[in-house]
Amino acid sequence: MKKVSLEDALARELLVVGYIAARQTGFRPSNLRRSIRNVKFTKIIYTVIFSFYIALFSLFTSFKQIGFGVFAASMLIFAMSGLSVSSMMTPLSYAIYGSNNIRDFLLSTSLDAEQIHRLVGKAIFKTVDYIIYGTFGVSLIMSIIFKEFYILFSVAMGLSLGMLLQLAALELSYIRSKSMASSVATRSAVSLLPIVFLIPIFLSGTLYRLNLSSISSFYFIPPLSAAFGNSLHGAITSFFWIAVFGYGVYRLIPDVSWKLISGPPSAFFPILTKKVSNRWKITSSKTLALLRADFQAASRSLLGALIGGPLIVFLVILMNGAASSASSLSVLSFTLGIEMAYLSIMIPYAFYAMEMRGASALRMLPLSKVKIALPKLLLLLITYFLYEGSLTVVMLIKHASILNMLPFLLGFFGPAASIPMTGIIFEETLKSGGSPTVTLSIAFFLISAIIVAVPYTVYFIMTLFRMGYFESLLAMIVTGALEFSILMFILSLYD
Amino acid sequence: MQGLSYVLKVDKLVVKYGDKVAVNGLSFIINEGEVFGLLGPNGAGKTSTIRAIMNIVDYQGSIDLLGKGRPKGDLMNSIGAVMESPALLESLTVKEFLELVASLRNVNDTQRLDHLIDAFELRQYLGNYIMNLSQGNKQKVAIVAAVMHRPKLLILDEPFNALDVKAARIFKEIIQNHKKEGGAVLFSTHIMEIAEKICDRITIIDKGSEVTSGPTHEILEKLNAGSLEEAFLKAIHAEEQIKELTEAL
Repeated sequence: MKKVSLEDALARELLVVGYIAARQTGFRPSNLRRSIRNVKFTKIIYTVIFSFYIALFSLFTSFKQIGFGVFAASMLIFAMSGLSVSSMMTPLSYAIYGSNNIRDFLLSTSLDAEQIHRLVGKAIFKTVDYIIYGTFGVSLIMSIIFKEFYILFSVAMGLSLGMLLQLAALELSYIRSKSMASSVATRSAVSLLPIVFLIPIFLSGTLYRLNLSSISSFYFIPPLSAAFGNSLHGAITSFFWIAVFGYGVYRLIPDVSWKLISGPPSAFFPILTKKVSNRWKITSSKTLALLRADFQAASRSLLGALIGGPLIVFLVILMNGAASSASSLSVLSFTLGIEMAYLSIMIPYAFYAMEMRGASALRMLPLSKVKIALPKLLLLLITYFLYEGSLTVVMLIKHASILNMLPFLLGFFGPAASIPMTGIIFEETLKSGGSPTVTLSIAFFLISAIIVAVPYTVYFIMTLFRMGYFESLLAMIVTGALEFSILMFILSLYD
Repeated sequence: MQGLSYVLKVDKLVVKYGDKVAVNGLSFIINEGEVFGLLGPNGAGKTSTIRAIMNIVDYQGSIDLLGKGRPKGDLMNSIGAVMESPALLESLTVKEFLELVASLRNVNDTQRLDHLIDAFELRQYLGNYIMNLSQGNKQKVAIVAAVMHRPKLLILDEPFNALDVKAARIFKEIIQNHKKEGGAVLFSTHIMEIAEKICDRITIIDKGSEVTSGPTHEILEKLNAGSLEEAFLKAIHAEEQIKELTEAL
């Protein structure tokens, strides 16, 4: 019989429990063996994807024509490394709902509390071991090849801080609160903490073209110090911060590990805290009823991060836009418009994911697949026009040209087409028993990326070939409408 | 529709998960005013059959509800279902969840909703998040959601799981009243005592295929059994096996 180490088995169990809890559909996974195998597959896929991006960003400074300096590349590498570990550890937040069974099992063995403590700590590390080895290994190779040691320091700092943030988030989630309001705030803070910190850093890498000399007096502040990793003082400072974050991780792991397997705190879903009236609120509009429930459920779950995250990024982009000059805003508008379009599709995705959790209950209701899609479509359009409209207002205030914004104000069909596409992906997920299928998650992001981009690309190509402005706009609208209609038709076939 | 007495007709149903055949050519009819029992050991294909009827999994064969074809869209309003592990929207409160179901099912009879809430003693839990509820109370919420709109067909997959004695009794009464009013019930269970009491007709399945089928009393006679449990064990040829296993212990 193949011997499996207990910490390996525990790490796998925590992730499996986490993934199943996160995507709870009410159906048992039809193929548990595949669900378990998917956990390992997820680790490998995440490692490959994040290592690839770190290698890609590392190339930026070597190819001057791309126009990325050391600052931009360092911020991108740092944020990507941080996101790699924190996203891999996210399922642990869900695992707390089922992991007290793990504790009960361990306590029934001959292990004492101290041994269990250490084992779970090792298991937490095992959830991110591939990512750490992969990204760190790639950064070491790239640093040696290009003799750019800021790459190595950016990755090491990103990994240590990403882990620290996620552990702090888990620790925070155990703060007990008596009122519903503070409980919701705690949960939101928990899920948003790593995103709130890392996404703006990532965006600063894409939006600002800073020279290191202009920020040299801030070299001691993390994560800027990593960008100075090629110099001795930058390397020493970076090393200091990596040690500080690493020590934080070392101190937090034992504490979090015990809490993790002790079951959820009452603060997560406090008992008897929501006052209800005796009057039933029954609406005749199915769309509004579903939208209300989606909001209620998503705002109270960790999926709230998918709603809160894009809103924060939207505000960051808007602030960056407001801080830019009119001329640079005109140039940047196409990039910002695209980013806003992609942000708008995250909220409907969160709602679909939310409904997956009660899928077997919802499947019993008189709802066609198109009716299920309608509230998301309504919300997407509101979000889309809020995002793109706000950006247009900023540009008008700054007296920048809004010619580049018109394609976005009229090009809502692309993002709208992502709704039936998401619906189709979720139908396929349900058919597979609602078990975690990494392939489908990746498929969502890849296919949605293409679908959203197709109409804008048509517009862009037509203007590139010097077709008329209005003809290009018309071609974009027609392409988007076609794409949307075809996908809606395919979704309706799932009824 | 005139003269149609069946509520659900399942014909040559096949459900596969990859290479594994969960249901293999199953056929049955459930008539108006009838409680039909779908019995079988764990893994026999009962839940897969129900998932096919609920249009959750892909299947081959035909499923016809009220002569209108496969249950989907508005036709789902003719069905009320309680599944083995009730999956509800866990971060909604009980009241929010029931309001959602009532809105989607166009239920305006709030008096019935209030009666059901009181019958299952759920009023004190209306403000609770479903996640906080005990398994029994979750089951009660699922039952209220399934019967609030007076559906033509009740699909019940192990509905008495975790129910307390009083709630179980009330639910049995609801099933009997539903039957008297011309409704139909598909009742899936492995608890033979309950099946024997409430089912008019049964089909026993094993490994996805029908083993025997007919009115409950006829099956007892046919298999020369004193109880449905005995008939069931005989039908799936488990009696000898149990004897051998217990002797080895």
